Formats: sequence, C-alpha cells, structure tokens
Amino acid sequence: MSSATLPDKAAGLAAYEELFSASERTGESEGVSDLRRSALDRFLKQGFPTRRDEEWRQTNVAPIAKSQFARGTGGSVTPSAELYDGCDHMVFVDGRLEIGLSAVPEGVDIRPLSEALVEGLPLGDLVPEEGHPFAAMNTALFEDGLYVHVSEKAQMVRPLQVHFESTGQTTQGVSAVSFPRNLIVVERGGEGRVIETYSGAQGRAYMTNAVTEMHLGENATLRHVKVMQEGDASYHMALQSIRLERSANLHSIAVNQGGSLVRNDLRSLLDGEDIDCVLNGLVLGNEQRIVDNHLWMEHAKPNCYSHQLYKGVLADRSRAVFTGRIFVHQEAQKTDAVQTNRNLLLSEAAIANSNPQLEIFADDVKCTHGSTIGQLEDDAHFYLRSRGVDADVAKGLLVYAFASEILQEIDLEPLRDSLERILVHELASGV
Amino acid sequence: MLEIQGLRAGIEDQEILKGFDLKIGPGEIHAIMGPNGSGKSTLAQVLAGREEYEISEGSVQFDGEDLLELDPEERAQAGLFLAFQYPVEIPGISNTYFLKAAVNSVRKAHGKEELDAVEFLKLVREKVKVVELDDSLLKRPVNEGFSGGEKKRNEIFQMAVLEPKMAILDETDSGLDIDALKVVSNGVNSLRDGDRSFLVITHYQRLLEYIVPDFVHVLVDGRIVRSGGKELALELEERGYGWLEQEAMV
Repeated sequence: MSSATLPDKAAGLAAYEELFSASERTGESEGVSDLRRSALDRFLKQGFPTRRDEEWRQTNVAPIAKSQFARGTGGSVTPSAELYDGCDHMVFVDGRLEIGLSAVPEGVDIRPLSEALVEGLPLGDLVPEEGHPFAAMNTALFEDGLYVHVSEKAQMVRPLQVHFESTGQTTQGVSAVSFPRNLIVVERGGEGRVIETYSGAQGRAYMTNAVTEMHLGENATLRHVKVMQEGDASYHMALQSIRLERSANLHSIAVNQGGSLVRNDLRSLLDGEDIDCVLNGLVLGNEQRIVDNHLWMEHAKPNCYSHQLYKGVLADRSRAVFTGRIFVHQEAQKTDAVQTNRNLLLSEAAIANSNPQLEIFADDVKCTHGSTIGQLEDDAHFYLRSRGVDADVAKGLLVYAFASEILQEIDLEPLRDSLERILVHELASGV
Repeated sequence: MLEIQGLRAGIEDQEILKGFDLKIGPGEIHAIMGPNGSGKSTLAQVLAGREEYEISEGSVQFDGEDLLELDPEERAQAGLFLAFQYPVEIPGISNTYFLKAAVNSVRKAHGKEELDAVEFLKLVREKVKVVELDDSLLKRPVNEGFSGGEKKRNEIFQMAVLEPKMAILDETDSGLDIDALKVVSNGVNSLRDGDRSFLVITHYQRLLEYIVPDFVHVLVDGRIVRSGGKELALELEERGYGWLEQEAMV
C-alpha cells in the first residue's frame, strides 16, 4: 500500500510546484519572491499533514491531498454572501480583485495586497516556519487579498468588509483553489474594524486556503469578525496569526457555517503588558461537516488578559474539534486567561472533540478552562411547548439561546441581524 | 370544561395515578390536596402533556376535545395553562421574547394576527401590574437568577398574559413567604371571571385561605378518596392525611 501511495503523494505535491511556476507575478519585489520560493520549498518538504501528526490527529486532509486543483476562473459574479450595510466593501472572486474601494478615510491605507508589496512590509512575519503546511502553501501561491494600514491614532470609522467569493470553476475541469492573503497593521493608538467573509458555490469541492496576519501596535484596537459560509462541498483551510504590543486590544469573532472540511488555526502572541485579547467563535455544523479550530494563545509578557469562548451547535453527522492551548511564559506573571468550549449536540451522530491544553511556566497566574458537551434540555423544551410554542420553534429558540451569546458582541447591526436570522431559521428548521 | 375519567398513568413501569376521576365546570375552582407521593404533580404533568409519563387507561376531555390526543403546545393553544412547581430557567432568552413567542404562537393557532412589538408591550404593561412583577425581570433571561417568589410570580404573570380557559397551579405556594403568597393569590383571584376554571394543587391548606375553592378533593395513592367543600381543607389541616390514608387502605 505504501509503495503505491508514495508516488501519488509526490505527484500531488508536484502539481503545486507547477501551479507555482505557472503563476504570473510581475512587479513583485525580490523579497516577496524569496519569501514565496522558500515557503514552497518548505511545503514540498513537509507535504500534507496526516493523522499521525499530533496537530492533525482529529482531522483527515486526505481528500485535499488526493485532489487536483487549479485556480478558479474568476470574473464578475454576484457574491453568494451578503454585503452588509453600514460598511465599505472590497470583493475578491477566486482570489482576484473584483470590487475595490472608491474612497479611503484619512490616516488609513486600504488597498489590495498585490498593490502594497513593497520592501519592509511585515508580510509572513507571523507565519511559523514549522507546523503550518497550508499556510506555507498560501505564502507560496497567494494571489491577493486585503491590505489595511491604520496610522498612528487614526480611526476606521466605518468597518470594512472584505469578501472572498469562490466560483468553484476552473477551465481545466478540476477543483478550484484560491489563496487569499490579508495583512492588517494597526499602528500605535489606531483603531481598525475589519470583517472577513468567505462564501462560494454549493456542491463544488473547491478549496479556500487563507492567511490573515494582524499586527497591533501599542494601544491599538482591532475589532474583527470572520464569517465563513463556504459552499457545502468545499474545503476551507485558514491561519489567522496576530501579534499584539503593550495595551493593545483585539476582539475577534469567528462564525463558521459552511464548508465540508474546515480547519482554522488561530495564533495570538501577547507580546507586551496589559493586553486584552478576545478570540470567540461559533461553529454551526450539519450534514457531515467537520470544523476543526486550533487556538494558540501565547502570553509572553505580564498582566495580560485573554479570553476564548467557542460554542458549537452540531446537527446530523457533523463534528467539531476544539483545541485550545494557553501558553504562559515564565515572565508572564499575573496572566489572566480564560478558555471555554461549549457544544450542543442536536443529533445522536454529531460529535464534539474538546482538547484544552495549558502550558504554564509562570507561578502567579489565573488560567481557567472549561468544556461542556450536551444536548438540548428536555425541561426547557417542554416549558416552552407548555406555553403554546411549537416543538420546532421551541427547539430553534433554545439553539438560538445557546449560540446567541457569541453574536451579541458583534456591534455592526446588519451583520449581527443577518447571522441571527441564519441561526433562527436555517439551522433551527433543519434539525 | 375538564372531565377526567378512570385515568391511569405512570412513569417507568410504576403506576402513579390509579383510576383518577374529576369533573370541573366553567368558572369553578377545585383544589387537590394530598400527601407527598400521592400523584399530585404527576396529574399536573400528565394534563400538560409531559411525554415521559405513560397513560395506560382513561380519558380526558377538555372543552370538548380529547386532551390526550394533543401535543403539549396544542393543549396550551386550546387554553390550558400549567403554572409549574419548578419553573425552568432558560439562559439566553429574555422573559419578554419568550412570552411574545408564546402569545403569538397561541394567536397563530387561533388564526389571529400576531401582535407587533408595540401591541405586545401594551399588553405586558397592563398585565405586569397583576402580580406586581418588577419591570427589570422582563428583560432578564427567563427565570434565570430569579428568587423562588419571583419565579412563581412570573408563572402567574404568564398566565395573565396568555388568558387560558383553565389554569392548573402546581404547588404554587411552595417556597413562598406570606407576602409573596398574598401577591400570587391576588393575581390568581383577579383572573377569576366566572368562566375561567382553576385546578389548585397544594399540600397545605394555607393557600386555600387566599384562593378559596368551590371543591376540595383529597388524593391518596393515585385516586381521589374524598371530596367536599372548602371546609374539608380545614379538616385536613387539623387531622392531617393519616386517617384518609388508612381509610383508603381498607
């Protein structure tokens, strides 16, 4: 068996080398070219992870490793996701810019990353060399994405929604792939607001491989929401990596709704004192969806607060994996880190895996973690029905009650309303 | 209004109601008293439609319908209300939202238009006075962190808003101090209108000083062993349940 798979594996990887050679990258600096080349080499050397790798134990990426991919056809298509009122929009289709911004607020630089690739850009600084083969693949092959630079004390008054649409179509008749790459830099005292959304064609086994890097300077604030509503047969592999300096404040929420196989790695390095870092998430699973969230919260300096709250609502045969690691350096005294993972199983066949991991090298810290996996409460369901509420509606209300805690913190009303509607109607009626 | 005949019901192979009969006319207040374990709460749960209970025999007619054929929500929509002995906490749903969903479900079932936010608020303002419920409790999640008294008031408040044809009060007096008991009783009494019927389930006579029943029944081991007027409650207060339990065994 192994003698048969090895050549396949090599052939599979060679396809990415071809994809790399075939990419047009005119006008890129030498630094960026070098970055891409070395990332490609790293990826080819590491290959796809298998379930023997500890970090991929519960998620099998063989369907991706076995597939053949080409870049999507792109073009002007109507986004399959909502473009929310109250914010500016930038839309990429199959990784290439379709709708740009007409105006940019003062003190803020927003543009496609492909137009910002100058020397000295902190691109790739937050992508670890080891252990992230998909991120390496992205660095080698990314087309474009969002570049935001908020200058010192500048403010993004209107949030920006950057949307990545996948057509799932290729001219070669194989699966489509895109590699969105985002870089967000908020300088000292600045305030940024970014919403990343991903969606695409139903029934097509396309892949989105996205990397978002965020740099927050002293006292900088970033409110960030990622909404993942990919097509039902798609793969979504993503790394979100963040570095925060003294007194910075990040509030990031991830909503995972679509896709057949989803893996999000979130890394946060708290690299100054008095940082406040929130990474919350909601997973809505149905059919045979697998959503694997790996969070890494690294406290490198004293007096920081971090908070992770991930909730999963799982129907049918869906599965959610939550691995949350809190790593506290010896120097990081007075760390206050909270991690909670709660899962609601709506069917007998749904599965939740919850893996809290604490590594603490300081002695004066407060780290708590909790995880629960449960079903809808019969008592509450009966109570609602006894007041005249139909069984299905009652179920929907209870699911909403469980999950809405995550959405309440979204301050852009049209976005929050839209997600709540999805929660109440689509999910509740489908279970 | 309600006619129960030969009802036998139990849970997990244990029969609790063993041939229960009761007939309640419109506008009447009936009290059911009985020692612990006699089947009082089972009766309340069975009437409300709790699916864990198995009904082996008997019939229940409610306002001309076969109650046992209805789902719990259909019973509520038909005008039956149960004030729970242990009201359930539901984190994440506000009391107001919960009640609005209930009111509109019932209206929808009757082919009426749903109330909008303004109309609903008007209804709530009117009813909240009935039980002197603190306004702030409306915005809080259903029963979460409510005191025992607040939970019971909330039950009566829901009853006032839903305006059922018949209400079952399952040990609404348990855990209430005398002031809360008066407030809750006043709320119930204000809802007496000559048509609405009540079934008051209680262990103690105390509640019946405030909610004065037309009939009192004593439940022992799953059956009514004695019925009478309100004076029966006083007799029970004096003599306890022992003598009736012994009679029932003969």
